[in-house]
Amino acid sequence: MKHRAIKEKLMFYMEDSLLAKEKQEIAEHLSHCDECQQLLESLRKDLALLNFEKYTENDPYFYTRLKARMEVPAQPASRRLWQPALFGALLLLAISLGTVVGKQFSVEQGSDDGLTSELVPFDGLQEEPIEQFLLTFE
Amino acid sequence: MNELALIRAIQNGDEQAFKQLVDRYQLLVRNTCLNFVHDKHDAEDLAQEVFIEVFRSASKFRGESKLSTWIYRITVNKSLNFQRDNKRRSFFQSIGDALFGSEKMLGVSTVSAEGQPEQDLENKERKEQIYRAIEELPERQKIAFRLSKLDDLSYQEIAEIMQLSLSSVESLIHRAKLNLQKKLYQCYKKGI
Repeated sequence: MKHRAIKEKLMFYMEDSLLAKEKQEIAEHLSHCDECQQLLESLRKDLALLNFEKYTENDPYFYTRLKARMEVPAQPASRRLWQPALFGALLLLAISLGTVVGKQFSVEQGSDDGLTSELVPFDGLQEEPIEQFLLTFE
Repeated sequence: MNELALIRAIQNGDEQAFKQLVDRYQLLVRNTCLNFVHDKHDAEDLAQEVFIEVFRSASKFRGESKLSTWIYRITVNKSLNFQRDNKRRSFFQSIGDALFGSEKMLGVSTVSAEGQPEQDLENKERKEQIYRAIEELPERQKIAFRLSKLDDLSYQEIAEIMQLSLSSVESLIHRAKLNLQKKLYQCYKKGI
């Protein structure tokens, strides 16, 4: 098995969920590959951390707090909606402002009498042929 | 009291039966919530919401699945909704911060870091890194992986909770592990 294929199977090797033949191949590779050894060690450390934080026993006051919460009337949804509503309104205001400014800009362009809106091609070679340019170039 | 009798009693408003159910399943619910939100305060809040939902929808439980499976299903759904709300909240919060200035309490992280041994801090960073990597997985892979790895559930139980076939769950978890491994390798490469 190649180094890359072994790298992809390190998590399964660590969990001992591979076939005996594959396990043996990986073990052999690990004996001389420092990179794979380090990766395996890091994976092992990281995945061990996942089970670190767990409740192991019942909280005796959990039910009391739960009952207290159940007796409190539910918060109206409007309180939770104010923030998105405010941002929505701000966004709408920004779009309207942008539209107004944009319209003003296009009016100015329309009153241009076509003087600048028409493209005038510029041919530099006609103005100054390249031979002349090279002759005068120092 | 067996599961069905317990849920029937709750349907009839028996408070003692509800307390019994909470005592029986609070560890399961609190741990699953913690696995999803990684914050004890939020997990506690969420666990309470789960039991409120269980109480309110007790009449919907028809006994077709195990009570624990039904409670797991409610817990997973509530946790996913919580995460979505949280993402939305932080999005608006970031816009708010950008518009009106940040009110983030930088002191919080400093306080928690103070007096902690270096090893704890390193573990905390590594834990955050792996939680981030799990968070980036596609939703169904994320759920299946969490239930398998963090809740230690069998593939069969996960299949019942997620209402999928056994082979789908096997495939989801396999892909989740491959993706997670890839993401973690990228983090190691960056030296995070």
